[in-house]
Amino acid sequence: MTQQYNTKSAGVRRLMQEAKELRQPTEMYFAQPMEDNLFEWHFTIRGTIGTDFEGGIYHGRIMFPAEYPMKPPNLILLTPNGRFELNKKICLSISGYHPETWLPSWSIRTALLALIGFLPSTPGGALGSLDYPPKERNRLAKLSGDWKCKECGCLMKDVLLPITEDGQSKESEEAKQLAAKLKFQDESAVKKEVAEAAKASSNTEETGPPTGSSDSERETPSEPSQSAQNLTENSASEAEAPVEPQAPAPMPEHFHQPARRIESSTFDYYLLIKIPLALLCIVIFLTLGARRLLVENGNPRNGEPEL
Amino acid sequence: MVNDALENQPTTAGIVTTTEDELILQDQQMKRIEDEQKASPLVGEKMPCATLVALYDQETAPAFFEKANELAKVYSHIRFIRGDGNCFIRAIQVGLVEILLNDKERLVKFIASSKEWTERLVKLGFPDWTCTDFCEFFIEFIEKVRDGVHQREDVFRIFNDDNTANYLLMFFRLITSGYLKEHAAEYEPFLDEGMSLAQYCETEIEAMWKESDHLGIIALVRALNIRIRIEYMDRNAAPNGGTHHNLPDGHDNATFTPDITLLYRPGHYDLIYKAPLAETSKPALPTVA
Repeated sequence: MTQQYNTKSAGVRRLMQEAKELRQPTEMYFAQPMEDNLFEWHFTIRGTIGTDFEGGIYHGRIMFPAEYPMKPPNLILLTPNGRFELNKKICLSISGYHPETWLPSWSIRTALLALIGFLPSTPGGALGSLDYPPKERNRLAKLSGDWKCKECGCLMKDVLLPITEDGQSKESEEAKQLAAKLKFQDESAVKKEVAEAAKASSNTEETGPPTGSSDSERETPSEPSQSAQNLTENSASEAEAPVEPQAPAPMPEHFHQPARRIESSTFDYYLLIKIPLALLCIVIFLTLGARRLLVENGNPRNGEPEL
Repeated sequence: MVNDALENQPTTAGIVTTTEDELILQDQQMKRIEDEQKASPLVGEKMPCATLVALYDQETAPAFFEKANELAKVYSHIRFIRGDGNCFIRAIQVGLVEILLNDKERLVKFIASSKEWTERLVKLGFPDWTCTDFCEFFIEFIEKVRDGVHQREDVFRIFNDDNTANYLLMFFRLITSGYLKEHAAEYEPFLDEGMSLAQYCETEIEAMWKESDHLGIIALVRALNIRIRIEYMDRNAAPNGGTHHNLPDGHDNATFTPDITLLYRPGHYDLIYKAPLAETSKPALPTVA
């Protein structure tokens, strides 16, 4: 395996070092590269005691971009868990969807701990999230031990070291802290990214040195007519983006500064996210109810004249 | 009940798909910006300042045209740096290594201080082995420059290889962050209310592709113990209202001989030079006619 990669490449060197660091399974996590691809790994993590995921052992894939560690890895879960959809990139600020908040000094271990800490968090409508009831999550957790990865062949209950009180509490504490920090960034990151992307693109348009812009025009001859279209489409989506998908989003903005101060005390923060979520659910429920009433009222009226 | 469930499903699915579409759009947009950036090299060739003048049209951008001409009288060359959010740090790194290529004595001192920085970062509690890995990677590189394994052309080839160049750049980001953390009491008051220095370092300094603001600039200059001058294309942008700004502060123009000179145009830094480096033994000194 070592021979097929350019070991002078910083990313390859780093991944090999990480593989060495993680060679031994711990109580909470284990990850190693696939035999034929250093840029794809399989990982196994344990659900934290005292959560819906207690007793669960979950398996997944990590896919690294060529720019790793400058850009974050993508995580995908393969074992049914009731919190994340399977075979779909997980939307954490630490995974690929939010490259802005990833730090190159973070590692695979950081990503796995964040994922462990993230399991019990409220989905909040994030992409790829599931909100199964605790009972179902418990059931899936119990079943997960007998889950076997078709690709790498490992059986979940055999992968990790048996848990001891000490080891688990130490690492799950770290996981919890990490997840709390990252989740906070997750909420604001989307808006910030859009704003910054908009700023960056307007910058290049206004002040971009003629060398850059003329070069880039030459560089992308394949879709010259499309690029103009894309521009308008993108700017339209920018305008809508902060409003549409994240109805609870105004909240994090509102509490932006204070939230930073109480970043580590997760309690307040969860409350803050739960309240708008509940409101959102009520609104959706009412809308649906209203729609149904309208449809039911409308049907007979439409039907009568025909009869 | 069954109806309820059925009606619920498409709606929730709908919400998820919009989010997904938007994320994809966002991704595409980021990709487009990135591709645009990548059209220009990370570190350009050294070019005569006339290239800078040629960028501006006398009719449409008279102020910039005039300023470019003024600069061309004082500076002979310019080296364009890719505008990917790392330009200030990259310009400093390239400028410094260029000096070190011609100044063995300074290079040896610099290697010693880089090693010292590794220890300082560990003492400050930087996470994991990953941080020291960035340090070691940079020190290995600079030692190869010392030993002649990396010649001038190798150095510039490496600076233009995204993967390796960014790994080297991370060392400068880390020491910037380290310097700020060592002088937390001094710098924390400059931050927005409610933001701790640790948070600022994590989100603005240690994260890639983040532009350096004044705090990041002064910290890197002090961490490296260098003297720089920033020439402003836009007079209003200079903090002191003049046409250029010397760092660290507190030097008047007469006695100040910068190691590195940068040209600032809104949102971007490039390297500028007074005379070709190769012709002067002590590149920092101004040429005396």
